[in-house]
Amino acid sequence: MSWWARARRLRELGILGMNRRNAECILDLNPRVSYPLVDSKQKMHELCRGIGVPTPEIYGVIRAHSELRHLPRLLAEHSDFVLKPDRGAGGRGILVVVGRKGDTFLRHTQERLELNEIRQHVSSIVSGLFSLGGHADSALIQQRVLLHPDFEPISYQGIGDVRVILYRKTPVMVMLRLPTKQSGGRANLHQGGIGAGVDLDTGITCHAVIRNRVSMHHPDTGASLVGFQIPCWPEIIAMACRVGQAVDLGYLGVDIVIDRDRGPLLLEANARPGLAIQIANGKGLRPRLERVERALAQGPNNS
Amino acid sequence: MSKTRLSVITASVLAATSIGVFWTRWNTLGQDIYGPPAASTWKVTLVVNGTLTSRNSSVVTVRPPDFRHQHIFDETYQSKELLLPKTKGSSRPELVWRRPGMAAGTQPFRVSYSFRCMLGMRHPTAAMREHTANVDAAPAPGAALKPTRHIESDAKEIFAKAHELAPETASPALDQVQAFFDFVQKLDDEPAFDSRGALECLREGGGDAGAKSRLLVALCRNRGIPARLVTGLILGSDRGPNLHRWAEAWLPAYHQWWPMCPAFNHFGPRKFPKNYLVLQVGEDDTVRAPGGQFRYGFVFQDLHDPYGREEMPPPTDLERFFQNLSLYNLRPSDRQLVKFLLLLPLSALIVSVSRTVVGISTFGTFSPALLGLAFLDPNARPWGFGIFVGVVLVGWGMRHMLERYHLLQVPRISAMLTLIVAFLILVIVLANQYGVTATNYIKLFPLVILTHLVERFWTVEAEDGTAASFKTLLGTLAVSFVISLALSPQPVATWMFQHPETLGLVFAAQLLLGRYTGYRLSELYRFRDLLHDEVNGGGRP
Repeated sequence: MSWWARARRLRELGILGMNRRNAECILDLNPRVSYPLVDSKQKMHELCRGIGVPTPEIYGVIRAHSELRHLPRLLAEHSDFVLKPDRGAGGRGILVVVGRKGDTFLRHTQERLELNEIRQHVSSIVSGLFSLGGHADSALIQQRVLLHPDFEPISYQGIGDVRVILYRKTPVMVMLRLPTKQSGGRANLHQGGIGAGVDLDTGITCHAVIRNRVSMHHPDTGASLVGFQIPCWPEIIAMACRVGQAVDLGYLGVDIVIDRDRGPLLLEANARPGLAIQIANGKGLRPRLERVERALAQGPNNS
Repeated sequence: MSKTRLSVITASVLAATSIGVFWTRWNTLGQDIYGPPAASTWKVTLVVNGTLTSRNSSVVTVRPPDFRHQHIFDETYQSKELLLPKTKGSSRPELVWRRPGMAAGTQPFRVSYSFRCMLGMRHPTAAMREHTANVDAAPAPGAALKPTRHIESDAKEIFAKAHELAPETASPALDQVQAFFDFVQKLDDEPAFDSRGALECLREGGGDAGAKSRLLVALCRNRGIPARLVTGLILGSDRGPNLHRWAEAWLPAYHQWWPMCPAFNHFGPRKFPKNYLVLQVGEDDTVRAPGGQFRYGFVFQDLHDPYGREEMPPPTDLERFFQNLSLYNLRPSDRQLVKFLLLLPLSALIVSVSRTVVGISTFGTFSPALLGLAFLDPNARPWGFGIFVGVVLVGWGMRHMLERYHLLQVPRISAMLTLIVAFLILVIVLANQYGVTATNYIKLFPLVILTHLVERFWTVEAEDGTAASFKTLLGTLAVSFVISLALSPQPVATWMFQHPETLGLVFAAQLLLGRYTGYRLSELYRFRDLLHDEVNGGGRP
């Protein structure tokens, strides 16, 4: 297929390109002032509590090296938790602890850590080692999300999450991201995680890719990736909408995880959600964005 | 108004303005865009052919001063075999061409240096006036008085002749100089062999322009009158483009270097011809190649009819406005800087096209832009890129090493800078051991970019994996290579320099690119599976 024909075909399919996303979605609809809100997990957490959207509990925040002395006290009551940088990106600097015996902690990779090593990790986070701008950061001690039994056949050493794209506060596309052996237990498409397209109305996966190529079965568990019903679907969509209403961003990605005990929890939001979701769904975003535009234009007339 | 429409309108206005300025200037000045008007404009080319024998040998060629009423501009330098490292931007009086690399043995070479010049410029630029003040300053006590190899001003015969010609040592310097000039001027003219010194000329009773001028200088110096030899060309003369020599003597009463051409009987500044181009003030050879053999020659070409211009009316206000705006009024080192600056936006434009239209990922916008400009010289390109890749890879290794220490960002980057500087110095020292002047290739090298690049390389590697970081490195190299290829032809820089209003067009293009919403070429590949997928994908959800 010639390059020209390819471009025409992509246009027919309504694929949103990077330039159009940057110019018409992000630059035109996302005011820069709202970025710090979504970039900080802690601020998102507070916002969600304000609007009644469940999120993983935050056991403690360490903002400076001087607060490191509180670490043993903050961890005292918890045998499993997640340490993460407040403004980290791409899953860097996240430490998952699944169990402890006194001052010895067990990571999800079965590695053992002493309290000192935990303290060292927190210190690195606070120093800004994992925030790519290199700015000083805060370390969050967060509730560990437990794998929902429904996900067991299609997860490898980690927890998947649901990414919902909201365009002008309306959900337009959803993808389920699942960890694989190759992605090192992280639900990150760059590193070889699975992206599965999800039907907006039913919450059933209809398409799946690994590293931009179509894949119908989980490479590690062999389970089918198509036809999987995401649990608590209506609640997930309602949560995403509520976050969309509360944040002044016209093009927003919302990441939701499903906990075994608490159900769907809002993990974080993203002001520059990527385009791979189109590949995961095998569909273009543009027709859906236009539908939202049309509905908004007609809205006042109807009411 | 939508942002896209706003951008398009602004871009159109800008483009129209630039084209309007260009058109007005063209209609006002025509071809004459090189600055204030002059009696004549010429293009002069020096070609040197020869062979260098030893490894460290170099070729030194003359470089005319941009001073008095002669304005030098549009210098171009060409040689496939030799490099011209340092002299370009400065206003040094010579150009030093060096052998590249480690090649030993004999090296044939060809060097071509050309420039345009205006003679008899009525209003010299500030830079020219400054240069004139330096060259034509009163000589320091004792300067321009000593005998040299070919100007034997201390010889007995010269002393005797000086006494004979001007017995009164107390008489005004002008009278003495006039007496010497009259004597030398009347000596026999002989064809130019150009090897005769002052003494030989006196003994033989004749010589060519060089020999007679040396004798004149020797006579003046013998009497304690500072005098110097001048080498140049008589543009437009029937003698053709042969080197000519004349003399200048310092007359304190006039506070001036008094020009004298004994060969063609021109004495004093008032009647001195306007078509004498000064190539060099002093006695150095016009072209030297220690450790080599060579031949050289000049060619000149009239660009402007001097007589046609004399009849032209004085410039209008608009003409004078554009003439004063011309960047050619700057001094040579500033001109070089401005040329470089003017290329930067073009180079950034190429980066934007590569990134938004093609979709090549690069380390930032400025790194490829500056890198491309650092490698404009085609001779330095392969070595330059080699050293660049070497430094990035070594720097990356060092960065891995530093990672163990878990350093904070700012100290870490300064530590990286130290390591990279140490490595570069090592490269320079090692290259020196093998007879390569590394500074030929990395003089302009933006160290800051390198450190920044290593840091970016590391970040991309950490975020997206090693393959992605190498892909980005390759993209950066490719884009900077395209920039260096696209911008290295001399006409590009010359055009930008003559028509700086082109920046308006560049800015308009950048505005339009800023609202380009089409697919990137790389996306046609990225979304390739979607192209075939939709066919059997079924209905909408």
